[in-house]
Amino acid sequence: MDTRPRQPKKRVAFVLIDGLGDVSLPKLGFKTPLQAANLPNLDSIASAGVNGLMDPVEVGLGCGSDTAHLSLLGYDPRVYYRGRGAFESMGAGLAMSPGDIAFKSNFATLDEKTGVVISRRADRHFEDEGPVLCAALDKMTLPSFPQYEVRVRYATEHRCGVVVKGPKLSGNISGTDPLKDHRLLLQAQALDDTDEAKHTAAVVNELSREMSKILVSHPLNAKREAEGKNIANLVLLRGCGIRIEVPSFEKKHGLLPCMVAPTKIIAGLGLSLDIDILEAPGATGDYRTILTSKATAIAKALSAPLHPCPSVFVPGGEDKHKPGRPDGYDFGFLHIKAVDDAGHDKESVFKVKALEAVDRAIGQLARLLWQAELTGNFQYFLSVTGDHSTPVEYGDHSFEPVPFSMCRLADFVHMVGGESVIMKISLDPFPLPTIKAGEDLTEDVKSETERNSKQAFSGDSVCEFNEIAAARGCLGRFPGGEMMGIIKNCLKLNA
Amino acid sequence: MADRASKAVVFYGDGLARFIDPSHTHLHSLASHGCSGFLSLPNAPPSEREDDRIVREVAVLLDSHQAYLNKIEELECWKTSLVQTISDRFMGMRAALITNNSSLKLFGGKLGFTTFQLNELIETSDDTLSGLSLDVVASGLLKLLGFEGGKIMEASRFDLVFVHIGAGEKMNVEKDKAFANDTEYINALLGGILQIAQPGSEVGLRLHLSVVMSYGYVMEADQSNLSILIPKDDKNSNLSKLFPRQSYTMEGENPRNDVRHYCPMLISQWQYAVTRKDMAETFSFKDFEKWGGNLVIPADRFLHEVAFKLWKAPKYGA
Repeated sequence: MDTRPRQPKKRVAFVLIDGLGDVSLPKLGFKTPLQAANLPNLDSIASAGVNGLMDPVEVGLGCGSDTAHLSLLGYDPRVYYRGRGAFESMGAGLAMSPGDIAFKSNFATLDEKTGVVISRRADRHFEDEGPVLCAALDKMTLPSFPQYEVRVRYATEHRCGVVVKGPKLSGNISGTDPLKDHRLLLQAQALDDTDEAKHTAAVVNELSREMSKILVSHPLNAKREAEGKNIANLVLLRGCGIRIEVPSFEKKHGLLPCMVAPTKIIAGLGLSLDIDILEAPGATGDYRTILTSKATAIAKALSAPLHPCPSVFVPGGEDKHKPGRPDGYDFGFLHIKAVDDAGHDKESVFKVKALEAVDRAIGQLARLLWQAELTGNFQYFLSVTGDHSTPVEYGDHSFEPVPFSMCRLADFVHMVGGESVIMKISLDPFPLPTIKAGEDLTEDVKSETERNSKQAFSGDSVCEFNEIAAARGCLGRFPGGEMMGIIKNCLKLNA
Repeated sequence: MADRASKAVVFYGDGLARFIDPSHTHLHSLASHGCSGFLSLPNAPPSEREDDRIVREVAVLLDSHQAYLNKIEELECWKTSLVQTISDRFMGMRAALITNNSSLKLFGGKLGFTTFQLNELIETSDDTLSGLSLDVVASGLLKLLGFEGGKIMEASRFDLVFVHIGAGEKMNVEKDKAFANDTEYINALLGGILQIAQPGSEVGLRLHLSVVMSYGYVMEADQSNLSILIPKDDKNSNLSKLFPRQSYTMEGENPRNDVRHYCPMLISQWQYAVTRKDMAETFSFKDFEKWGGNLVIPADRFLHEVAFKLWKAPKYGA
């Protein structure tokens, strides 16, 4: 007897390439990195599906990853965004309830006599000492405000997350960071006239003083002083944010979501929307990351119960992980950071190569999902886009729109040459490429002949995944707030 | 240069879009090197006078439509100094508006632009465009931005120079001929600027160039000939179900309730290593529709894009 369900479950693998978009670079023959890179799988998604240009938040607005992600996931940042602090802290593992405030914080060095911040980063290599000092600060009390609980957790380098939990807090206060060395430590101040903001500023100023008292007397600082190192006698409290109160992603969209995002601010944002953060060993959110691990985690989560679902991250818990949903998820969000990092680091050649590595990982993801689709239990969709442009010669985020593509996995498989081709894709993990100093791409840049050899298979007439081709897509140019609607409508379309 | 703040020149050919022809080689050259598209406008109010249209459309382009409405309604905030200036809105941006239209000059001044007539720019009493040497005008414009002798000076008067030309400045000659002359003037002036701002040159690396051409007064027939509505694909009705609300029809999360879906402004932008290069080859509605990389954006977001390239607009979020 055939036990297969009549209607396979429709599920989406959504790949978000941070900092995806770019401009036309003279060094790449006036192509964008996406145009210059060899991207057979991304081009196949574009050929097999529908395409468009997306303004992540609004036309002409250069946006951060946090506001852009909120917008793309259907939450208007103008309504819900309350600063990055809460996202960073939750991503770093601090539990937060709605109404709690958090800071992105630095261990720094203060001249106690003058009140001048000598160094905003006590030490970039703080991996051993940072967690010790965080443990000393964690659960500290505030003499004038005993009703508040303070939680501190180490993040990376000289950074830590600080959360204050308690009643009547406001995220609308300034921080204590003077932003440059050799300037006076600032007092937190209310940024509006509410009693909550004024009260919160007072709480935070006491928090800053009490933290310094604990740090000054910590034996680790005595040891650093004896060794002639900067002492970490200050925690700069910056980027205050309050945990946003929003309907969960599942409630808003009717899709069970999971996410792979080692980047803390993205993981924290996901947690704020009640998205399960999957464990993906080897995925680091930087240049050392293993993209195969991310693809595998998403594929497993989208093909459960055929395969066991990966564990999910629990902030603030004794045990940091719990089992993922046994029946898996409908919407798998795979975040890739390395391309944005290449943009910030102004590494144009690496940006091209990193995009090619992402393309390879998407091939692996497609193969894993296709194996599951062959059982008849699932019908998968692939969707790819970015959260903003990070023009590599500019080195920061910009407003230019990003390409968006979505297709059925079955159409993608047809486009790449059929099942025999996709099943040959190697699943071996691979590192991101390394670039030699002075390396360029003159001979590697994709030729016009290669570009013209492709054909659109279904959907619209677009057959390449890049900023220029996407403008010819059937979706036109749309704001990021429309994206989830497109994805959900795609799922409803008949084959 | 991508990692330095740019300085911007905007040429705005008011009502000149219909008069572009193949002889305007510099306009086509800009389109073939840069990124092109459309800027959508709201509908004109009924029985609008030409002079009002000129000011209203520039007001939209400068994202100051509300200030324009306040002016029309003679609200107190317009009469007093409560109008938010361009400098207040864009991180201290210093901007010049060059126009021979007196109403526009007044409006620009109220918005905080320093206003000039072209002849004031180069200190001549000749107020006709043809009386001014193009090379001198091009150099004069760049000098306002701190570019002199092909070099970048340490100080500059302005970050943005907005040049308004057209709308029949020389009404003493036949109107169509005046428009055609103005179009040729923009083309030639653009040629003068491009000659100085060669790709890779010191000026070329820092100069962000926009050419905007509008249709001015629009006619009934334009609705079908110059439409920006994307045609529904009858062959695949499934795809039309996916069609999202377009960026140009939205203001934040809210739909705009007054969008003219035809006769948009045409725009081409270029800066070496800063803008995208699309597949448009000529400065024309048809080419931008078929090959433009920008598609359609609302005209009132144009200045935000330029300001960002001048480092006068902040990033939203982290």
